[in-house]
Amino acid sequence: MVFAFDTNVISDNSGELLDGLLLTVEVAALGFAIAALLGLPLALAGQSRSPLLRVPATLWVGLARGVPLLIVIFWLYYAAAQEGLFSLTAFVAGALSLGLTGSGYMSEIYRTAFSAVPSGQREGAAAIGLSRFQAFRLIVFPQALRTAIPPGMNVFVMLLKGATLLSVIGLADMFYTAKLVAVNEFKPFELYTAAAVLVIAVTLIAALAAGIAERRLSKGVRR
Amino acid sequence: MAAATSSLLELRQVTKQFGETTVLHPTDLQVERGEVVCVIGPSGSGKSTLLRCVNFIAPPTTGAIVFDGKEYHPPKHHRWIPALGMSEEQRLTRLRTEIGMVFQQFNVFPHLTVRENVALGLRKTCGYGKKAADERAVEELAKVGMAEKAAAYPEQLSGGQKQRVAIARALALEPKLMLFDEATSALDPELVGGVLQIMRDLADGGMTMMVVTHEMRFAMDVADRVIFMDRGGIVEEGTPEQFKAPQHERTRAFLQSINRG
Repeated sequence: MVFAFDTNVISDNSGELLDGLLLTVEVAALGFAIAALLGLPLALAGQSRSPLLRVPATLWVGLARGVPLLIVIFWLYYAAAQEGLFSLTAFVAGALSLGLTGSGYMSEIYRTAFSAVPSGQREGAAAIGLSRFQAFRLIVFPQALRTAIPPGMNVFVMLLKGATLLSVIGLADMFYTAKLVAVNEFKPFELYTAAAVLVIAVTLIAALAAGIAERRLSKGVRR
Repeated sequence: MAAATSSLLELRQVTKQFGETTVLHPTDLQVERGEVVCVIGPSGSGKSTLLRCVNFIAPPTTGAIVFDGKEYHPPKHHRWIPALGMSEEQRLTRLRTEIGMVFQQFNVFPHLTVRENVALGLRKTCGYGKKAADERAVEELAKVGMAEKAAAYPEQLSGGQKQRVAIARALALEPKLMLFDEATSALDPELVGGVLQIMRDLADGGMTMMVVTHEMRFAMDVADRVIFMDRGGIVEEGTPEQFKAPQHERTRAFLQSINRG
């Protein structure tokens, strides 16, 4: 049998694949939003003088980064429902899993971004009578944000790739669709290649968007 | 507690420790209204630390500071709930609006325009609206010859220009005391004169100033009082005239060494 890359099977199913891709991007974007929002208070709590905030934040970050995504997904989707704790749709469980896992990474990214802002900036802010909170909000955070964008982008890509794992809990995402078609049409090579290309395409677009965002935030700052 | 003093600023037994290291031994100091005090000494002598203790940018470890009749103490942070120290923290934040500070490294905000750098304090700590703050900021910038750079970002400026912006930012809040922490040490030699001139004019205008500096000419010309610090303490203080014949061996050695340079 001669191997030939059958593009027809991809174009025939492109509608389903793109629908799936939209779902993949949605769940990854929602997961990233959760991670970015949770990561900020985690990073701040991790730097707190009080052990009451610091210890739980450090534990959380360690767990979020240490526990494999697949286990978090199974835990939130199957284990929690089985024990009657709560029951979530595949989409919500997926977004939450990605968000929780990503929060640990985002927290570390914020932390390093905050410490990359020279201490003189905080002193300058304090010297004009800004409170610690104002100094953070108006001086430290805006400067830290642009340092956080490239590594934050990496987390988004990681979550996007992680989102393909959600096919195991039956989320009809892009990879789930590709697998279904691959099995039905006996064309695994074509479909999995298409899946890979789609993820890479989204990654490139996201990198482009991050580059634009970084440039806009870098107003007035030399690199 | 009653603060029985007419001085603008009084330091009472102020010390600063970093862990086990004492960088400032118990120090008393008074600064009168309108007085210009220049602090000189070798690096690591504690002069910057002294200055930073005054506005609690680096809070003293022990001691008290009386400013304009009000007494301030280092905030004690509760081990478990730091927020309990908030009320003293808020007093210190207000204190800092009355004390301007200019840094060696300028510490202008790179993500804000020159105008926004100056307007920020006016808006956030003096209750100005955006428009009023912007207008006021340009006026302050004009006083240091930087009005035409109002829309520029700090990275487009020279060191001397950045320092002018930093001075305008501090003066905009109409401080009762100005602290200069080696304000010209990071400048190219040809830019030093312009910044020193602004400081001179400020002193002539009656501003109370504490100036940590290596510029001996400036100190001798402008200061009402010179303080020599070494190894975390004040060794000698006196008028510039008195410093022409210093009493202490260490002062003599220091002055000789910088005159040679």
